[in-house]
Amino acid sequence: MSELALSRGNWLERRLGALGLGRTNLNLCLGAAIVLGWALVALLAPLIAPYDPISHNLPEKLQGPGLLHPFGTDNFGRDVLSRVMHGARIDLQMGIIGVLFPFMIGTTLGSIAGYAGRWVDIALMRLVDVVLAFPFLVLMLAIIAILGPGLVSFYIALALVGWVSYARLVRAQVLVLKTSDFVTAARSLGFGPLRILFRHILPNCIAGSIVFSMSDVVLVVLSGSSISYLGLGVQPPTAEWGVMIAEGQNFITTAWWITTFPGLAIVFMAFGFSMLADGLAERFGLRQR
Amino acid sequence: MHRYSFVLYRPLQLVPVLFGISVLSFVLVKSIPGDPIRLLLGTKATPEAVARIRALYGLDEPLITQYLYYLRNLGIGEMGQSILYKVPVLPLIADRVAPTLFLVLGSVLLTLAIGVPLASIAALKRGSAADHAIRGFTTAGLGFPAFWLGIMLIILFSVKLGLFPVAGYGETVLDKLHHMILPCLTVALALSAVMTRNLRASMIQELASDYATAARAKGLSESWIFRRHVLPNSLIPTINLLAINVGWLIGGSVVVETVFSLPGMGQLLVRAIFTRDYMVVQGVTLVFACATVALNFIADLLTVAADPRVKL
Repeated sequence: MSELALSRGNWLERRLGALGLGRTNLNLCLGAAIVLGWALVALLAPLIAPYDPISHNLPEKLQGPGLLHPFGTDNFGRDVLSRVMHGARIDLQMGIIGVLFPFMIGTTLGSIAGYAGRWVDIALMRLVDVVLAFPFLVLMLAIIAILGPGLVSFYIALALVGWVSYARLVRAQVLVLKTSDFVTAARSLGFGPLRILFRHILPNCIAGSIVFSMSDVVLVVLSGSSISYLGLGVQPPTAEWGVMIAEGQNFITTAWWITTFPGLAIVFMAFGFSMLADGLAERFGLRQR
Repeated sequence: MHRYSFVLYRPLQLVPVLFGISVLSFVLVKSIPGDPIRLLLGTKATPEAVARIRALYGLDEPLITQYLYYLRNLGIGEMGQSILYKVPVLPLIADRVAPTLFLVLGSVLLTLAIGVPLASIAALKRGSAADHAIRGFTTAGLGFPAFWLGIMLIILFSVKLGLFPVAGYGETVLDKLHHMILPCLTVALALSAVMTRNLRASMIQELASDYATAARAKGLSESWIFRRHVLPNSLIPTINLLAINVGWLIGGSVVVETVFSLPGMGQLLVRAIFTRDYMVVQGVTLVFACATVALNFIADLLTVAADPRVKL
C-alpha cells in the first residue's frame, strides 16, 4: 500500500524529498517543536512577558492589537499577550498533571485486571463500563459540584474519571501479552507475578498508553479550559485561557482580540500535542499513515 | 438466532450498567458536603425537628436501606425537589430536554454534511494538497475548544455579518431553527474533525478492498463504485464512532448551551452547580448517563440494520 502511495506521488513527500528530508518523521518533529516552544514560553513567562498579567491599567483598556500591545488589551487594560504567555503556565500544567494521575492509576489497575483475570478483572471492567456510561464532562462537573470549584477539584475529578481509558487500553494488551512465550519463560524461571507484570509485560505494552496520553493532553486541556470558562475551574484574575475567553465574551462586539488570542493559543498547543501523538504512533509503528 | 434478537436480550446486559449508574449517582449525593436536612430547614431548626425530618426521609436508616429507598423513588420518577426552583426535579428536566435534543441531533446531521464530503475528497485524492489540507483540519480540529469556536462564529456571523442571533432559543419553529444553526455548527465543526479523520481511513481501506477491485474489473466507473459500494460500507464504522462520541457530544452541548444561553439541560446543570442545587445536579447527571446508554443501544441497532454481516 505504501509503495502504491509513493508511486502515485505524495505531494508533501515529494517536496520534502526535494529538500533532502524524505524520511523525517514530520509529525514528531513539528509536534515536539511546538510543545517545547510552549514549555519555554511557560517557563520564561515572567521574563519575556512585556507587561504584568494581573495588575490593572485602566487608561489603556480595550486597545486593539498594535505595536505596544501586539494582542491588544482587555477591559482592565491588561496586555493580552502577557496574559496568554502566563496562561501557558497554567494550561500546560493542567495538561501534564491532569494526564499524569489518570495515566498512573489507569495503567496500574488495567494491568492488574488483565493479569489477575477472574473476579478482579470482572469487577474492574464493570466499574469501567459504569464510568464510561456517563458523559465525561458531565461526570467531571458533578464531582466538581461536590468538591467545589477550583483547579485541585479539577485534578481530583480527572483522576476519578480519566483512568478508565488507560485501564481499558492496558488491560487489552496485557491479555494478549500474558500468553506469550517470554512471559511463560519468565514464569518458568520462578519470577513472581508482580515482577512479571511490571518488569516484563508492562514495558512491552506501555507504548500505546504513551501515545494515547499525548492525545489525552489535548482532551484534558480542552476540558480544563472549558470548565474554567464555565467558571468552575481556575478562578479570575488568574491568567488562564478559558478564563480569559469567558471574560472577553462580554466584549465580542467591540474587542474581538480578548477572546480570539487565548483560543488560538489553546488550538496551537493542542495541535502540537496531536502532532506529537501522531508522530509517536508512527515511530512506535502503532498506526498506519 | 434471528439477527435482531439482541434487541430483546441486550437490555438485560444493560442492567448491570444501569445498576452501576444508580449506585454511582447515589454515592455522588451521599458525598455532598454538609447535612442535607440542615440545608433544607436552615440553621435555626431545633434538634428535634431535624431528627423528625431525618426519620421522615429515612436518613437514619442504614446506607443499604437508603439506597433501596432511592432506587424505589427513581422507579416512580421521584428525583427530589429543586432547592432553587422549588419544583420536583424530573418535570424541571423534562422542560429542558427539547433544546438539548435539538442541539445534539442537529449537530450530528451537520457533522455528516461536513465530514462526508471532506473525507471523500481526501480519500479519493490521497496524497494531494487537498488531502493534506483536510488532514491538517482534522488534526487541528481535534484541539478546537467548542466554547471558543462558538464565540468565534458569533463574532463572524452575528456581530460582523448580522446573519444569526447572538444567543437565545427563539419562539416559533422557524425562529428556533434560526437560533440553533450557530450552536449546531459549533459542535459539528469540532466533531467533524474526528469523523472526517476516521471516515477517510475507512474509505481508503474500502477503496482497496477486493469487491472494489472486482467492480473495477467489471468496468464500472470510479464514481459509481465510490457512491454505490465504498461510501455505504465506510459509513458503517462511522455510526459506531458517533456512538462512542455521544458522551463527548453531550459534554460539548453542555458548554455550547452556556455560550449561546440555550435553555437546555446543560445550562440547567451548570446553574445548579453554582447554586448548589444538588438534587438537580444529580438528576441531570443521571438522565445524561441513561441517554448515553440508550443512544449507544440505538447505534448498535443502526449498525445491524445497515450491515447484514454484523451479529451482536
